[in-house]
Amino acid sequence: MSVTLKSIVDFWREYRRYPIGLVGLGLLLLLIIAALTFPIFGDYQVVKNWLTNQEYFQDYPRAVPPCWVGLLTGQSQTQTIIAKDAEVASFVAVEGPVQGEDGYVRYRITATFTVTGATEPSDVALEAYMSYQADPPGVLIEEIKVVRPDGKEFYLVKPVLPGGLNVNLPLETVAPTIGTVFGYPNTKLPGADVPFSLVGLAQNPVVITRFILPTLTQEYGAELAGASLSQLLTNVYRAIFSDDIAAALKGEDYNVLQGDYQVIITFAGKNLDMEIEPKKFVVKGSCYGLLGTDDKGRPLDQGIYYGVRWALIIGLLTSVITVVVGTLYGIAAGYIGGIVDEVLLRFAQVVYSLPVLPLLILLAALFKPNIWMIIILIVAFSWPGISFVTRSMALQIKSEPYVEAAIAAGAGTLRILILYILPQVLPYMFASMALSVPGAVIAEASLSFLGLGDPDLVTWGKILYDAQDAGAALNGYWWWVIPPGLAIALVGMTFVFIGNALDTILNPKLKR
Amino acid sequence: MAELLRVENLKTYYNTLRGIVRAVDGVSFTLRKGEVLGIAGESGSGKSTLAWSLLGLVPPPGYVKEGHIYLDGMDITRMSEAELRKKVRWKKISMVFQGAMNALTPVYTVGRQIEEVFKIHAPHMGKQEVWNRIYELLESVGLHRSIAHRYPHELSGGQKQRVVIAMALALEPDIVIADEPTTALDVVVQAQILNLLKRLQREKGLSIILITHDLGVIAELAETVMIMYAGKMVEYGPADLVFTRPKHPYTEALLKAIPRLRGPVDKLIYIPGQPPDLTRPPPGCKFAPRCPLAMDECHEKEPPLFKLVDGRLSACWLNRNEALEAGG
Amino acid sequence: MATARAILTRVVNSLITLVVALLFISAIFAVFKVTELEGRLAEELPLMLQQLEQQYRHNPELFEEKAKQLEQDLREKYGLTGSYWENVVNWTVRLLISNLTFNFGTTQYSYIGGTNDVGEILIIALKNTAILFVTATIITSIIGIILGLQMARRPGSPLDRGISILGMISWSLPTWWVAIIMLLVFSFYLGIFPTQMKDVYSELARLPGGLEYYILSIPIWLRYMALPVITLVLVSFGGWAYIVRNIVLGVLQEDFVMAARARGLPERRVIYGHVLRTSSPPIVTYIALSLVGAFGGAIITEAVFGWPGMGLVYWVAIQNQDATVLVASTWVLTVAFILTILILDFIYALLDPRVRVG
Repeated sequence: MSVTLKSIVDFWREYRRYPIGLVGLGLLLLLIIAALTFPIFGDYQVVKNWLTNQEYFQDYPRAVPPCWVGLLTGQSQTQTIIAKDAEVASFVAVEGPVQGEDGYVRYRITATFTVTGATEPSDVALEAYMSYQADPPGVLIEEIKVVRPDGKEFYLVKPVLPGGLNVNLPLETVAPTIGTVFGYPNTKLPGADVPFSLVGLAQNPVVITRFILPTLTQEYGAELAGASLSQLLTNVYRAIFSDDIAAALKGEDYNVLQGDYQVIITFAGKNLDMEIEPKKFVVKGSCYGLLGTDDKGRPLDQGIYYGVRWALIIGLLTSVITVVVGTLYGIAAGYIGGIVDEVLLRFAQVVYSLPVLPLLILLAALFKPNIWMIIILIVAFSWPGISFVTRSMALQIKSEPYVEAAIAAGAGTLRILILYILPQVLPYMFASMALSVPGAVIAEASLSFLGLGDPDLVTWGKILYDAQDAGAALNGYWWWVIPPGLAIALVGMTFVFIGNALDTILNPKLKR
Repeated sequence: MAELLRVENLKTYYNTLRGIVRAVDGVSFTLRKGEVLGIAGESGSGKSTLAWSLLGLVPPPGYVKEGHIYLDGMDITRMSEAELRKKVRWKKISMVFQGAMNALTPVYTVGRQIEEVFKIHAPHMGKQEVWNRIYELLESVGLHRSIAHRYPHELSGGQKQRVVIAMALALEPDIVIADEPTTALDVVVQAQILNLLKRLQREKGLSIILITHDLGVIAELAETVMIMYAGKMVEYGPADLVFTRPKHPYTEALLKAIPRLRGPVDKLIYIPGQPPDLTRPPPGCKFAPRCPLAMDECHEKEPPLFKLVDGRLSACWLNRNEALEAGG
Repeated sequence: MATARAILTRVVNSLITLVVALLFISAIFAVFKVTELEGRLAEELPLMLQQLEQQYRHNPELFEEKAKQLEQDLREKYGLTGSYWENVVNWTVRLLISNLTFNFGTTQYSYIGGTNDVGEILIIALKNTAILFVTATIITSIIGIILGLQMARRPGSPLDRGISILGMISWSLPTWWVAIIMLLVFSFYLGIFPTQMKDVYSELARLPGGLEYYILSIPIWLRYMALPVITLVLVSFGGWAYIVRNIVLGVLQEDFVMAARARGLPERRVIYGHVLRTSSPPIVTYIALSLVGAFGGAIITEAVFGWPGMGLVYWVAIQNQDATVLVASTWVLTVAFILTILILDFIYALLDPRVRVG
């Protein structure tokens, strides 16, 4: 009774008859390829920083869907631009020093980009290395404006008196200092990386009340009457890119103005000496990547891709160990019989009757295990089911004449277990292993979903936990919520299909 | 005596994935009132399919391709399911299954299962009347009436077989088909059941079709014998003649294969080879590949059923000369 | 009397399981508690010792005495008077008693029902969970049995293959994830169903009292229950139907089915009276088995919907690290679970005469 090469070939021939089993096998192949190729095609940096380093993702757009959505909805998307170091020069230009007639030396940063999508970028950001000093000390921001494709200039900072009057006064009385707007030392900056964010500016209450509001009131005054401050706070940024500024400010519908935009920042100071070196320019588009980003900007396609290997590892490891343990336990109990069998059976029955998930949750919540401990815990609750069936099988085989003959010939317990019982139980073991994988994957995903998974691991359950935490379903972030679950389902289905084919082969009553 | 059942050229096939299985391939016979017909053959010879055909119970993918089954003026092969249920099944023909196996529904008591038969077929009978009948039936097969309240798993093989017989007689049918009634029973119980069947047949004038692979059982009970092979009838005639002077090589081989208790102990004789694949039957006589007396003609042309002088039918080229006329 | 013995065996088995579960839960909580308390002790003691030192700096001997006394008192307060294992055993016993008597104490966090008594919270939560779960299970089993029967009678048909595949797919889906998708589609996009199921209480609170309350409260309950129940049924019915199909298919091949047909019984009677009836014990077994898995998933699903049941209790307890509530919930669930299995066991015995003997 040994498993020979011929029986393997026969088995494969039989297996081939079941299309479902073949589909499962194909999917398994895909999954294994995905798991193995991550080091080649995946971005490990993203995964490494996923849990620990939020800052890594600051340049990514937050909570945006994947870019192919644009193809489906017909709406064009604004691509994300992340330019660093040498690439920045193609977007950002620095001019200066320019000596003005009013005695001020001016420097100017101009950033140019194009908006192609039907949604505005979620932010436009710049980072420059700057150092400056002026004599007398004091660096002013003369203006910060966005020049739109329609030629209109949208001012975020404009020299204007409190109260909104714009009289011809010397610059230092009406222009804000760099300290007021950005919080950097007004007198002298010895050299630091300074970030600018359009959204940050447009949502800064001081900037809005002192500069933006008066300017806008001048131009659109009547139309804006009655709008609350909080409303304007949220709508200023959108208004920058809208074709109907007043409507956007009031929170009504608008269309995004497409075309070339320029963000211009002008610095001024007496005897101003500035060093400006743009290091990074980011336009956070309305879409990103294959699967979009979550609310912290993390690209979800990397998370999903990486998760494949852990899903497979967890699923397979758990089910293999469970089945092996359960089988050995079962056949030992069944074959040895007597009191030993009674005791073993009772114990298995008790463990089997315990509610798995509540206990798992309790253990995980109290003791915060890592992934290997979690696997062991899942195994600890899952093995009895298999042991009952294998015990019955062992009982049945035990009474077969050839086993009795072997015993009479002097074969020991271990020998009988391995040579006679195990080979017959083996096919059932494989079917069980396959069918247990979905349960194992879901168990671990459930724990992660509750926040009880291994804190150092990026798994699909963890991604869904973050989604639930951020209210993704209620905010309509479908790209965050659907792929991880589909991935879990895919892994599950793969093994269910395989297991189903195996089961049908082994259980003659179900054969067609 | 009156002819109860006439089967004409019955062909029952199964339409399987592997091909069409010709389980019953042109069988004809008649059954008189009070006659006991034994049908013998190896497993796969088509005897069970024949039995099922008589009740219209051939399981899909099986179907009656051709032929007629005339019973009491009705043609069973042309009747609808509803008609079969109302008029034929259990009322005219009933079946005794292998009781030792799972012929009884495990979740109801035996009595309730018999009661159900009355409820469906004789709804006018009152409960008291029905139960009296049930007790009567059980006692008539040699069981105590308390058996009625037992579940099948509580009964021994012999008891279950008797119950199944009792159930078959509930509506006093004209014909009882007994499908392997003694298989899986030990020898002592076998004898008891056979005696029971003999007694019942005598008392009620039943016609019995006895299907079995055990020639000894047929010899005990049957007056007429049909030997089937590969879906065809190969010999037919009075039991004593067929068993003492078989005309067909297959019948001979079957008889020779029965080990004798007395006499010189020799090698076991068996029929070499396997029954043919019924999806691709060999040309010519179906038994030819295994027949020790096969001639060239046997492999090419299929012999018809020759009607022999003593009234027997036999499908073998060897019988050609004794034949009165071809066909039967 | 064999039946009485059978009943007794089952009850005893359940009791043993309960006892083991009780020990297990109490023990692990005890380990946790002792570790936690030791930690707290290690923080508090030095601070208090410092104060004491100040107080008694002129009298070192008295200080020694007082210090020992202080530690003693603290240890007694926390129940940590013995060695590590003694403490664990001590606490285990304490918890055993409190769990057995269902006396769980109070919690500082707010859950449902506006009460801080853990026992009361759990009663409300358990009731709500039961309503949801039982309704969903009943609907699922009805659909599953009907579908499964049809599939078994026509194996290989489009219905059969389709539902079988559906069953296999839903076997791989986490129920709580389907819940999230349902919320996405029905609450966010279509706005048909409410988003936070625990709001049912605030709606109910607005109803007038008396008989009107009972009549009007039903549609409100239904509206809030609808999405969770639909989700639970949607995920389970495929698998159910598939298992019922397999069981019935096996039974259909038994001889007694043909024997029943041979007796001229109408097909309907054969299928329902004989086939289904014989299939019902293994189906009940399957109910019990599937409860194990479905239960856990249903709890988490509740949390996703914010349904005011055990799921929500678990979710909040985990967020707040409320160990007391966690342990109490687990114990209560275990008891409920084991009781349910016991009841199902009896139903099985009622249905299958073959097991009634011992």
